[in-house]
Amino acid sequence: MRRALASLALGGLLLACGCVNESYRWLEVDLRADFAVDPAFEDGGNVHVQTHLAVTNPGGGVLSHPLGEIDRFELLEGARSFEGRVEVPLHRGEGLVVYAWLDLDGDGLLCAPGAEPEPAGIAEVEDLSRFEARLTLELSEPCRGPEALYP
Amino acid sequence: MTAALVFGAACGPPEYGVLIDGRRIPVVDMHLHPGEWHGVPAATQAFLAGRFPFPFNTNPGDLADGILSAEGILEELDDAGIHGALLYAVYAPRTVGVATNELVEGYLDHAPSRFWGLASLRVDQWRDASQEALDDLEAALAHPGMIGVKLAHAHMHFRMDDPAYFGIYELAGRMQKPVYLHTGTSPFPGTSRDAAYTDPVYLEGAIEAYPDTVFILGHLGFDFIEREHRGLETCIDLASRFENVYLEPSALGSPSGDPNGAQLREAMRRMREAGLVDRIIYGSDGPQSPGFVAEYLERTVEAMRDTGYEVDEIEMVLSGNFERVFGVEVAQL
Amino acid sequence: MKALLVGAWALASLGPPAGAIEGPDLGESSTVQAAGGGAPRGDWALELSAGFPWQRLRGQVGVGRGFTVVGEFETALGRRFWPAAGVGYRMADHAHLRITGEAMLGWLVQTTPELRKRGFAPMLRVRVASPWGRRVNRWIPHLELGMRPAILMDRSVYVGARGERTQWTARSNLTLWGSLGLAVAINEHVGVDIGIDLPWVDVPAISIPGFHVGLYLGGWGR
Repeated sequence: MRRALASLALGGLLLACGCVNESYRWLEVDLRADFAVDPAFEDGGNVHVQTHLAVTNPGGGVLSHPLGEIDRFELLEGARSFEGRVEVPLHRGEGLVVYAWLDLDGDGLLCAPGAEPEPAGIAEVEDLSRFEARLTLELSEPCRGPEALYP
Repeated sequence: MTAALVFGAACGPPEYGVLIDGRRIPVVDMHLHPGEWHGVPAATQAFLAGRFPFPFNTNPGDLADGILSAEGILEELDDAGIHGALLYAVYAPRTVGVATNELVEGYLDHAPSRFWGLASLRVDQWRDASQEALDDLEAALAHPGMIGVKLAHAHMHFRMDDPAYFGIYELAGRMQKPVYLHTGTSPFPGTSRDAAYTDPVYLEGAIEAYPDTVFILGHLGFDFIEREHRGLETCIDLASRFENVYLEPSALGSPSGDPNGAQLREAMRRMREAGLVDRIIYGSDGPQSPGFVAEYLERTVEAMRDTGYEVDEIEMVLSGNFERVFGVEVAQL
Repeated sequence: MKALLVGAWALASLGPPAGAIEGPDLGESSTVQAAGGGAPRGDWALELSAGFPWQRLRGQVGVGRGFTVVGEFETALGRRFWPAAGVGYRMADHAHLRITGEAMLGWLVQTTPELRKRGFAPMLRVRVASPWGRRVNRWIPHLELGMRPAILMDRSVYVGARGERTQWTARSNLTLWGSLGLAVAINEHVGVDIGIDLPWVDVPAISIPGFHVGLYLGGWGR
C-alpha cells in the first residue's frame, strides 16, 4: 500500500512536471502451454519457445504487420509444458501468439542444412481479457518459421 | 603501385568515373536506398536518429528525407563521380521500414538516365496473399527501369530455405531479373539474427533449384553485430560452385565499422584469390550520410589496389559485371 | 574536466579577496560579471545569446559573500530546452582572473519524437574570465566548462488480474559543455560577445560544434 502510494505520488509529481520520459503499457498473462510432438517425428531434445504479438503497429497502416517477437527461451531438458507469466507490450501491438520448435539434434538451430527435419508449431491465445490462457501446440510442421505458420 | 588514382569529384560540373593509371573507369553503385522517414518504424527511427550527430538528430526526419530524396541521392552520386545507381524498394515493416515499388518508380522516372531499380514485395501475409504479392511484384518488374528483385530475409523475416517462398526466385528467373539478397546479420532493431535468416549457406537449395535465376549475395554474409566476416567463405564457396551466384561487398567496409579498411581488403583479397573477380558487383549501401557514397567508393578502390587488382579487374567490379549481369548499358565516359 | 574543476577549487582556496566583491563598486562591468560569473550584492546582469544551434537567456544577481543567484533558459533549435536555476560562487577574484563555480538545477525537455527526453538535469559549471583593458576591462576572453547529467524517468503500467501497477525506471545520459568566447564591454552596462560552443551532447553521440553571438546588459540601479 505504502509502495503504491509512493508510486502514485511520484507519478503525479512527474506528470505534473510533464517529465515522464517514455510511457509503456503491458498486459500480464499467466500462460500455460503444452507441447505435443507429432508422432511422425522422434520425441527428444528441448523445446524452444517464442512469444509474439499477434499484430504490431495495429491499425492497418503500411507499418502494421503480423507477429513481433516479445521473448524467446528454451524449456528445461525434456520439458513439454511451460507455465509462467508473459508480459505483452501493448504499446507495440496487440494479441499473443506462441511459437515453438523441437531441437531434436540439440544444435540450437531449427533445421540446419543437412540435418534431419525438426518440427515446429504455433498457436494464438484467443482471449486475453481474463489475463490467463491455456494452449496446446502441436509441433508438426517441419522446418517452418513463425511467419510461415501465422496468420 | 605507383599509378595515380584520381576521383572525378571536383569543382564545376561533375566528372564521372574514377581515373586509374590514366584510364577513366565508369562506376555504377548497385546498392542505394531511397525512402521516406515516415516509412520507417519508430524503433528504427530512434536507432537511426541516435546515430545522427547533434543537433541534426533533433530533427532527424528532415535530414533523412533530404538525403534519401532523388535530388539528395543524385547529389551524393555527383560528389562521388558516379553516374548510375540501383535503387531498392524495401518491404520490411518489422525492421527497416517500407519503400514501395511505386516510390522507387517515381525516382526512376525522375532521372531515367541515372537510376535503375530493384522491386520487392511483402511476405508477411504469405499464407493468405502470396499470389497477390507475386502478381504485384511481376507488375512492378514490368517497369522498364526495374531490373531486378531485392530481398532481405533477416529484415523481412522469412527463412532462406523455406520452399514456400521459392516462387519469388521462379518469377525472377522467368523474367530474367537478378535477385539481390541481404546476407549476414543486421544491426537494426527487430531484425532476425537466426542462422536460417542470415547465413547464406541456407540459400544453397534455392540457388541449386533455380539455375536460371541470378543470386547476388549482398554484404558477403558479414556479421554487422560482431563486425566480422562470418559468411565470406560460404559466399565464395557458393559462387565457386554455382555460376548463377554473384557477390556484392557493400557496407562491410564503412568508415565507422571498418576504420582501417581491413575487413574490406580481406573480402576483396579472398574473392580475387578464388578467381571470382568476374562475379563481384560494386555497391555501397548508401546514402547513409553525406559523403558516404564517395568515401565507400574510394575505400573499395583502395582495397582493390592494395590487394593486387589490375585495372581491367577494377573495371569489371565497378561497372562491367553489373552491365553484363543486368543486361543494361552503362553510360560510357 | 575533473582536473579543471579541481584546479578551479584550488585557485579559490588561495584565498580570494572576498571583500573585494563585498565592498564598494570597483567599476567591474556587467559584461565581466556575465562572462565570468559572480557579482557584488545587488549587481545584476543579463545575457542574451543566439547562434547555431544554441540560444540562451541568462540572468544573475549578486546576493553577497561571493554568491549569485542564477536563472537560465537555453534551447537548441527550439527542440531541446533547458530551464534552470541555481547559485554561483566566485572562487577567484583577481584583476585578470575571475573564476566562478555554478550549481544549477534544471529540466531537460527534448521534443523530438524519435529521441524524446524529459527529465531532471542538474549542471555543474565553471566559468573563467580574464578581463583586460583600462577602466571598464574592455576585453574579456572567457571559458565555460560544464557537465550536465540528465535523469530520464520511464513509466511502465502493468495491467493484470490484480489490477494495475506502475513501475518507474530511470535512465541517465550526460552532456558535457565547453564554450570559448571573447566578450567586449562597450561600457559599464553593455557588452557583446562572440564565441564557439563545443558541447558533447548525450555522450557518446557525436556533436557538431556551434557558435554564438551575445549581448550583455546590466548594472543599472546598483
